[in-house]
Amino acid sequence: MKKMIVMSMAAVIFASQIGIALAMFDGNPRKGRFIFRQECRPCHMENPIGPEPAHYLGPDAKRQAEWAEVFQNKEELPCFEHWKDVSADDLNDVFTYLHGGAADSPTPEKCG
Amino acid sequence: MKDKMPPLSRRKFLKTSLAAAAISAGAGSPLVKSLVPRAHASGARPPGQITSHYTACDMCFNRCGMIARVQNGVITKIDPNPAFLKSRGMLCARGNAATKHIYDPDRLKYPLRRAGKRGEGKWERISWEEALDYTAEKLLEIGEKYTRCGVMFIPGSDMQSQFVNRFAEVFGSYNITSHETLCLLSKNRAYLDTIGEVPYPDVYYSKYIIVAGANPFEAFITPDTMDFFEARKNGCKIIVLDPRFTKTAAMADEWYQIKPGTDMAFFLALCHVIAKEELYEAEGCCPVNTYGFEEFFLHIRKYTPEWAEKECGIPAQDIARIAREIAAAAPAAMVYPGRRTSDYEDSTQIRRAMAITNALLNNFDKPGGLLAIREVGVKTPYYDVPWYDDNPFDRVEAGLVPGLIDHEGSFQLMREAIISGEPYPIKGWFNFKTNFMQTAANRNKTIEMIDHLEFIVNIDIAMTDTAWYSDVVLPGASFLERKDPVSALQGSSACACAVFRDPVVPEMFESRSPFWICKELSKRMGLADSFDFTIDEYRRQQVDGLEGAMEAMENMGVYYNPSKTYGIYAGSPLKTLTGVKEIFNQRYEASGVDPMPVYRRPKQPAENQFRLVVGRTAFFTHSNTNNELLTEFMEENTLNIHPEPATRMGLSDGDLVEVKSKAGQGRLRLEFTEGIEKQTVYTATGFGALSPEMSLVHNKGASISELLEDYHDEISGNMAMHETFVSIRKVA
Repeated sequence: MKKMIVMSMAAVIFASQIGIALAMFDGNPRKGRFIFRQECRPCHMENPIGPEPAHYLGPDAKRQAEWAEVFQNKEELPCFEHWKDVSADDLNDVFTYLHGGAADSPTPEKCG
Repeated sequence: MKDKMPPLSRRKFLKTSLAAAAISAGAGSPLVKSLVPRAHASGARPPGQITSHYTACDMCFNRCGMIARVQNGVITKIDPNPAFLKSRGMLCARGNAATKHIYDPDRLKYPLRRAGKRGEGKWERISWEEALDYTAEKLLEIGEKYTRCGVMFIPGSDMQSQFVNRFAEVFGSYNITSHETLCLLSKNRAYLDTIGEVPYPDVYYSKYIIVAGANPFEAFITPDTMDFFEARKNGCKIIVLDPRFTKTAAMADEWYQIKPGTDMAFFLALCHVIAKEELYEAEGCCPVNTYGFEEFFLHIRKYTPEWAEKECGIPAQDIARIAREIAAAAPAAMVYPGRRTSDYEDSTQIRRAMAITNALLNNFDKPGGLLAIREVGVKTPYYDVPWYDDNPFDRVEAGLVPGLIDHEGSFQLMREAIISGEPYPIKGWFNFKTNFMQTAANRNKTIEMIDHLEFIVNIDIAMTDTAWYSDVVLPGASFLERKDPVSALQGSSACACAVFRDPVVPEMFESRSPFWICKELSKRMGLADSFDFTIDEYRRQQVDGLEGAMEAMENMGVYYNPSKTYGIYAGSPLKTLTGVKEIFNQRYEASGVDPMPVYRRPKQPAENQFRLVVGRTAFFTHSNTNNELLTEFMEENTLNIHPEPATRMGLSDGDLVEVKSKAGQGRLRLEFTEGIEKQTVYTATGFGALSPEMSLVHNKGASISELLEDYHDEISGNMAMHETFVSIRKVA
């Protein structure tokens, strides 16, 4: 049973990967890292210091498909109000950074 | 346990400082050599109480727990910390020799600025104030002229490297590279691309281990090295493949003198037998929890044991037998991943073949197999990084290989970029405790790179060859004099632990820690906010939420996190693209790289040519050879050669020969050994120093960096150090 669950999850993840292909995440990941650290990390670090402390988030906190899902449904984020002031280019940079260093990316990255 | 530290005698300190001040640039002179030990000798006054201090070793990268014994302000002895599980309470020769590290007469004593040509050895003593002002001014100047990415940073592999890394980031350069790009990058690449992380071998509980291209009985990795002995006592079978009869080979159950560069042939044939005879565990492994098993099954049809025998020289029946034996012992069995894999241009693919063998053994996350990273819980304190709009888009060597690990880069490819000036200029180098002039292949090319740089600043404890070619040399404090942040360590099934260091004795001479240096520089460069904290504050942030961690490190020298060891994934998908073990790698295919390892016969040396291979001894770490105690084991490196070809060439044991490659040449004495493949020669690292202030190894033997030609792994950009062929000629 456990094996079937693993395989199903893998299939879903892989299907999502094919779906997103390279249609997004073509921004500047280094600038994205900078913006993420400025805008998100204070609340999403291991010991949050921002105004609305939340759980740790860094590129390696999610898989690429999961970041794609977050990006596509960003309106549903609890902190979406905050994102409204971030330009589309900056947002693309942030997600390029997160997607590029995701847990299942070639080079997973923790946000230090 | 932690006793009050007796202060360094003011009289002794003054004696040392004044005498040191009385001489100018000749730090390697007999005066200084005799001065330092005497100034710190405990015999100068009646023996005082011996105090004991927990610390962590820095003589290599393992960070074994140690206890320093201090008498009259002098470290007189180093003992292992028996409570330190990662090293199983062991301290090796290097750890014991740390007393000669801190009290090395060749230590740098004060800041120096180059006063002649690079490498000429003319220096002027300057104050810290002047050194810091000048360094800050030069870094800012380069940042202004060439963008902040115009400075290359090499932060070393030290407990304070994180501060140099932070400094590089807040300065604004992402051209940061490391010693690891000369070491284990290709292995990391291979395992990341097969199981989604870099695993830790559970040697202790293993029942069958193949060690290929690694030498853990000399190139210590804790706890692996000690665990090999325990595992063997517990009935583990150890198979070693190596062109050299290493110490590991000597302790193995079976040693095969494999032809250099043919390991992939052996492992593909091993997989052939395991797959063909269906020796894998169908339920838990293949094909269900792998991607591309069917393609691989077809791919390896041609890689039979009989075919492999012709390539690697290991009899087909032995390959088949080993395949059956290791599969029977699985999952408590493994191909040992090793550490340094900077050997061939296809080193990632060689390690992919090993990683795939491990995948077939279904040993990941299981006792006696390969373990996932355990939780230690040490946190990374937050800091802001600035953004510079004029910075280039990416690292200078980005895109030159398909599998570059972004936060490591590739020193070799950066060196090429600096020489060519493409895609953009790098004109500065900030270096901490890394000696690429001795460790990186093709020293002449490193010198050529240096010729293209406008400013080099180097922090080190001694005048290494790299420091010798720098513009400003800053005397670093030794690990026994420093207050260091918390460091998280992975200890396989032995432990997941954390350590820190407090100063055992005060900083000697004018030496300072990298933390202090970065802090002072940041003040001068408008970056003070990034270093506005103390080490104590930093540590508290690191262990926040880890109950009892600080107390354990203070009272026992180590904190253990009782985190899960096995079954960490517990049915969750792996961190690979498909969530399962990737035998077939789609990203490779998309990048034009073989998605499964394809064997290509290595190029062969011509008649009377030899393949030069390098490796580690148990008593030196890389180029850290300039130690009075450790050079008792080896005063000069020699060239190991098989007597048969040597005799055929009219050479005798002990002859002085000139060893020549396309990169350079050096002189070494021959040392005959039948324990080496006939067209392979070997020499140790860390000799033939250019710097006369590495007095024990200057003009002794030859440097591997002079002899090795520069090749790199085609996927990761890791240096490839076993592709060089040399000719040998007797010196009259």
